[in-house]
Amino acid sequence: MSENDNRSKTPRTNPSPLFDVHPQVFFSSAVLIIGFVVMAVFFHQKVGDFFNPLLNTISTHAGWFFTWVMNLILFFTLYLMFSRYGDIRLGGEDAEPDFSTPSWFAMLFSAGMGIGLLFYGVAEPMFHFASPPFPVSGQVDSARTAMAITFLHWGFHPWAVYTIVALSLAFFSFNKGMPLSIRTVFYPILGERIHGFWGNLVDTLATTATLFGVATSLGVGVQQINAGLAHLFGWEQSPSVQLMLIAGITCIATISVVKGLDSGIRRLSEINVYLAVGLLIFVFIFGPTLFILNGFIENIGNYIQELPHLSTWNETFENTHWQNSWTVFYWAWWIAWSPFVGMFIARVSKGRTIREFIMGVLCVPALVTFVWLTAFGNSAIWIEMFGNGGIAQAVSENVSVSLFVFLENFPLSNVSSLLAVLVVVSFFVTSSDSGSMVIDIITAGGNPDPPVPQRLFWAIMEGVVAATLLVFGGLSALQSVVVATGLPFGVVLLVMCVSLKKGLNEYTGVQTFSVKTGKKRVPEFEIQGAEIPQVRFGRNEKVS
Amino acid sequence: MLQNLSLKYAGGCMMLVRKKEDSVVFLGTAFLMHDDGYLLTALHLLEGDEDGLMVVPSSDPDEFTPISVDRVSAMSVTVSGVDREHNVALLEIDRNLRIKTPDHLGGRTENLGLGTSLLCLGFPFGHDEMHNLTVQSAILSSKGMTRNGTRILLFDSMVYDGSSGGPLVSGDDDRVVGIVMGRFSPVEDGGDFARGNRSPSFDTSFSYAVSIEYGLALMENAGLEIS
Repeated sequence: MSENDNRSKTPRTNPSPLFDVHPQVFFSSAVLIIGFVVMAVFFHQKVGDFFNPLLNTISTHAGWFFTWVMNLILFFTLYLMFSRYGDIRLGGEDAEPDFSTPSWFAMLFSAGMGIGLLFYGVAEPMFHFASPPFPVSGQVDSARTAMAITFLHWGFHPWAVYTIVALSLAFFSFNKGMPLSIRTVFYPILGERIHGFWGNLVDTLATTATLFGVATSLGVGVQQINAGLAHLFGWEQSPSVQLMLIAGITCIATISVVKGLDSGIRRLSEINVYLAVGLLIFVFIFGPTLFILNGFIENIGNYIQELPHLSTWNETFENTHWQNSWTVFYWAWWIAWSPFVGMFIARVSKGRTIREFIMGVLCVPALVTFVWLTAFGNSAIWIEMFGNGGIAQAVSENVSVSLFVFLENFPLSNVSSLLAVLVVVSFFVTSSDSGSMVIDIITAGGNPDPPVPQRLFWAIMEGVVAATLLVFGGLSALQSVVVATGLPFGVVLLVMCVSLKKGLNEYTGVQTFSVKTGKKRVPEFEIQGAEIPQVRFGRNEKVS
Repeated sequence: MLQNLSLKYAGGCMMLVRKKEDSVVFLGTAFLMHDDGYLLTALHLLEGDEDGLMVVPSSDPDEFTPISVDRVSAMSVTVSGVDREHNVALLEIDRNLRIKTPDHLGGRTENLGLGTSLLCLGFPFGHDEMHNLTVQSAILSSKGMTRNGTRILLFDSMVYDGSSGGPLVSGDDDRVVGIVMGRFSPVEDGGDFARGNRSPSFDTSFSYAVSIEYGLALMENAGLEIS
């Protein structure tokens, strides 16, 4: 079946230069989003009262499930990388990558981790250093454990989840000619039904979850930026400043989305990476350089040694709930984000082989993350162990300012803090524009290049939702909702693995003829007796 | 490799038969080349009579099936194009079926090298009431051009009459490169290869097929897209 045949099965309005929407998905997502926002604004207390305990219950009772899902997915990803499927090129044998490898890495990293890494790069090792989850013998052991746990939360597991979602989308879209949409990955299981109600439902939920994910983190993030600016320059912490920040970020993100993937999002991601690398080099040079260099290899070694232990640890015998707000929260968070990040990664990864893709998405960003965490985390630990201290206290008081307190320990802290603010903002913009791009594609029925007014609509919508929630409340309630979706989506992820394996099997197997008329079935054939006459073979009528 | 080739093409090979009163008589082999139900075969099998033509799909070739069947389900076909010069016919199944053909069917013979692994499929003993699909392997022995300019592919395998009209498939790229005509007999008196004044079946152990390009040209003339 040709690519166009498959794409055309998903109904869309007649493509016009202004709008090219999948009507059911577009309008039901818009209604759902507006409905949820109104509900969160007017009843945020009630929404919070419902979802916060729900999230807590999920964390307590389904922690083991998340542990299973994350490990199974990591194993499945590694299996695909080393299997014969690794040779399959996304987009067909002759496909060439749309982006250079450095640009590709920049986009992967900017969309996948972004802002969290900036704040938690300092804060998380400090948290674990100050209060380890299990008994440790002294500061040294505590530091080692802190880094290993942080690596676990930001390392291979989250990237494996992104890899599977992105690979499923990319494979079914580029190699099987299906629309670039979440519904697509269920084709081997749901068959043609993905073009109907169930497909619309999946896409609508993915759109809604993505928008809320990006909008709530935008809302929470500007509060952090505001706190940072207040700490640095004494700005007031008020909704009006935060609204201005949202407006500014949305404005840049909108320009980026409208300019398109190549001239907008790619360039911003590259600038983003340059800025982040600048900050990293700054910390490396002015920080405890030797401590960082020694720590990098040691942290990786510890992580690998501790991986079997930490990745399967469930607090069974401790009978505590420390993981609820750490490991399980992270797992649910990464899973909830995976439709968005996966979709974006898929969009930029055409032309790579599956092996190259997994190496690129699983290993490279994880390694970069390790470099980052070592530079910031180890430096923070160094300050705490051998320097002036005070970071752990700053982290426990206010995570948002911990990065800036950390930078004050080095020379030229004004310059580095300003650079840090720029990195924070640029990470936000890249998360926001790639989120808009993903929503654009899904609501356009899988069209990878939706029209400009549509991009404008969703980019602005993101800012408006974030601003509304910020002013009227409901941000944290909605964030709990997003994280709570991690549980059902964890099940979906497992189904996705089965579906992908099935699709890859069929793709690499021998294609055969199939003649279907409806009744009598033979494996390769279906020959219909209905109106086909059953005829007798003439005997001894050899044709010479 | 050859198993995969057999698996790929087995479902597309059909017996070509002619309806006579309440029974059918075997003529040769035809093979599916298009989702809309178009098949290619050797023109000489039709014996100049386009009436009552039908095709019979094979049952699962990997199973042990009775070598002779009494009753079959057959589908009427009409002749949609012929190339008398190169002995090729294009048939169309009359019924509206849902057919899915594998990708990459039509090959090219231009750069096909001598020694290439080949597979031919057909019903060699159909005239003798054996109705099992049979595959034969060979290598490309020679590429030649007849006096009327027909490009032919010689291969080192003895095919029997019933295999005429079947596909010759290249093991290099899994595509059809020829339409099997029959046993090869060296040119005599400037005559043609098939069915001269002596039985070709006993001449040599080589067989030949005409280049698939003639069949593809017929399909293009009929407005069909070739995969």
